[in-house]
Amino acid sequence: MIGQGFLQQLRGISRQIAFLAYFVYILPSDMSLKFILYILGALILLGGLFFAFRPKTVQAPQSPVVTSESTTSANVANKVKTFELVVRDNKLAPGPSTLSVVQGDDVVIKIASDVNGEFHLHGYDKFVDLEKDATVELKFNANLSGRFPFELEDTKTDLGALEVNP
Amino acid sequence: MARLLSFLFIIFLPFIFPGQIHAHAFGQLYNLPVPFWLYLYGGAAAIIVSFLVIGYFFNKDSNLEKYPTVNLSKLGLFSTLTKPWFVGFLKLASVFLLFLTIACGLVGENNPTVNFNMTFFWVIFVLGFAYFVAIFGDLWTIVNPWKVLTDFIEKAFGKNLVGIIKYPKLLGYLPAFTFYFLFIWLELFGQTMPFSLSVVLLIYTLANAFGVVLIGRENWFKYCEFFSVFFRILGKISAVEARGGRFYLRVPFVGLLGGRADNFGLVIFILFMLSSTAFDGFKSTAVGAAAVRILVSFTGIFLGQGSFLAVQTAGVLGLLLSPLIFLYLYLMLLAFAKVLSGSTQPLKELALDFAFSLIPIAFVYNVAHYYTLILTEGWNMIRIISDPFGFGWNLFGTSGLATNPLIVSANIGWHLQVGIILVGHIAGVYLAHLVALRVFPSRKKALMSQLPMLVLMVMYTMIGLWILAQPIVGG
Repeated sequence: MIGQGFLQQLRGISRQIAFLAYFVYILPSDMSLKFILYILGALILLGGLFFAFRPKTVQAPQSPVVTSESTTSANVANKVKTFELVVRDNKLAPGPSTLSVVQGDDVVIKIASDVNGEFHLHGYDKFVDLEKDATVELKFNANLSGRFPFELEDTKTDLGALEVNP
Repeated sequence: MARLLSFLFIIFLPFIFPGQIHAHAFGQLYNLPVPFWLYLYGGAAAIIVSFLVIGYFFNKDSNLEKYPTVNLSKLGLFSTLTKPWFVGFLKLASVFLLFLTIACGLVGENNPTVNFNMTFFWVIFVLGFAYFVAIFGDLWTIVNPWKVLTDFIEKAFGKNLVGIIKYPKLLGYLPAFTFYFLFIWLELFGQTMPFSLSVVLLIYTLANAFGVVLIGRENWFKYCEFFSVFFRILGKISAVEARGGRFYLRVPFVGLLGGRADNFGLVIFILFMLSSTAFDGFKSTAVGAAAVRILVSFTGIFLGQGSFLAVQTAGVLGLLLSPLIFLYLYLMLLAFAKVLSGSTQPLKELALDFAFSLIPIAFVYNVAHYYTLILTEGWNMIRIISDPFGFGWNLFGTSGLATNPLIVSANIGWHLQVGIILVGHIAGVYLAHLVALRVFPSRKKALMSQLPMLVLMVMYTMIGLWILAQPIVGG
């Protein structure tokens, strides 16, 4: 997690340096010091505002820490999240269709279907065969962040999406 | 007559292709909504930066209509670029790619992930080439395959295609806008497959042929051919400028300085660049999906509740409405600016003057929304070129390459999206200010006029950011 925060700061700073370099590049040679100071002031203002707006902790909901926070222990953040989906009549039976996890979690999706078919999770590109009146399981690690729709492959019916928060 | 027929055919295309209102033409977006704090920051930064830009100009004479350039022609690479053989090669390649795209769809596997034409057209060309043009300049004016074919026919028959009838200038850019509208409709609702895409491209090629014969090549490619107008507008943003056979490096966006729209139709075209992207994002939001449902129930009253025709008509109506909403905001705030500045210019003239300052925002809307598609789908191109028709070939040995969408981490994605929207916003405010100085009676009045323009730019930017921050509903 330290890595992420540092990366963000590095990004913020490098963006500002790039911005500054850009402006220095386009300056005609007779530009005044006043202009440069103006730009610097603007950048500091924007940068300061950015850090003010940014949440103090990492955005996504953190799992409660039992022991002291350790960045080396991978198990603290990784949780196993299990979801149960029921496919009936070519669509998802009532229930949440957006599955939310945190990047790094192990995900288990259990799918019960009333027909044979194929379940496809985009992005991760996972396919799992569905069996009539049976429950199948899809297991993987959510290492990519983003929003990944899943569907019934044969009928191309959208069922919902997996949201992996960074 | 022929042109009228082809137009009519094109108008009825939406009702021929089946499909519900769905997400995108092709390719999945894996972007998470931008987090709320970042959205707020974007808005606050946009407002602050706008004031900073204007504040800077408050006491300063700006002479930035002249801008610094760097002559690139000293680099050997650039002298190659202007050699006739290279240009000829590019033109040939362009025509070849057009034929390949059409052929792959007609005779190849009708599977979008396998066939060359979908990935090539929607990702490499519509997105990739567009961004290329925005960075390096309007290459399309040289490689446009329909123009190249026209040139070829002119040479082959020894005649210059000047048209049978004179182009009614009153039409302005309406034909290009019509094609643009149909193009976006196709992208959002057409549910194209390789085969149907090829059919559309064939029809468009025929339309080009008719158009060039009817009104002459110059007016056709200036006012009617959609991609020519689109890339010409985007090319003005570029960091590379070609002048007198030489290439110069310049600050991005400065190409928009000192120019104005020559026709109101171009203003609508530019606003549609903005609104079509916004519409696409908007209908995936909770508010947007609800609005779509209301619209569908409305059209259902006349066309049958829940019927295919009702859904399609609702989609077309919504899409048509989108530029009008942006136009309304634009004209309303321009009217305020006119009043505050005491300008005697007609509102229409002012609308033409300020139109180019909207282009940066239109461009960054598009990039922020779609750029990830180049990464997630573009990678597949490596595999697809080995087997363009999906027949099981392996021309370059890459057909076994696994699908590996290059998914940008959500964090990086968000910051890039907000960052680029801010860049477009800054450019827009800056340009609008320079236009105001040129167009309004005095410097002081120009500054006063900038408050409504600032509100306009902030509104457009906030709309863009808001859409990006909304939870996504539906596919």
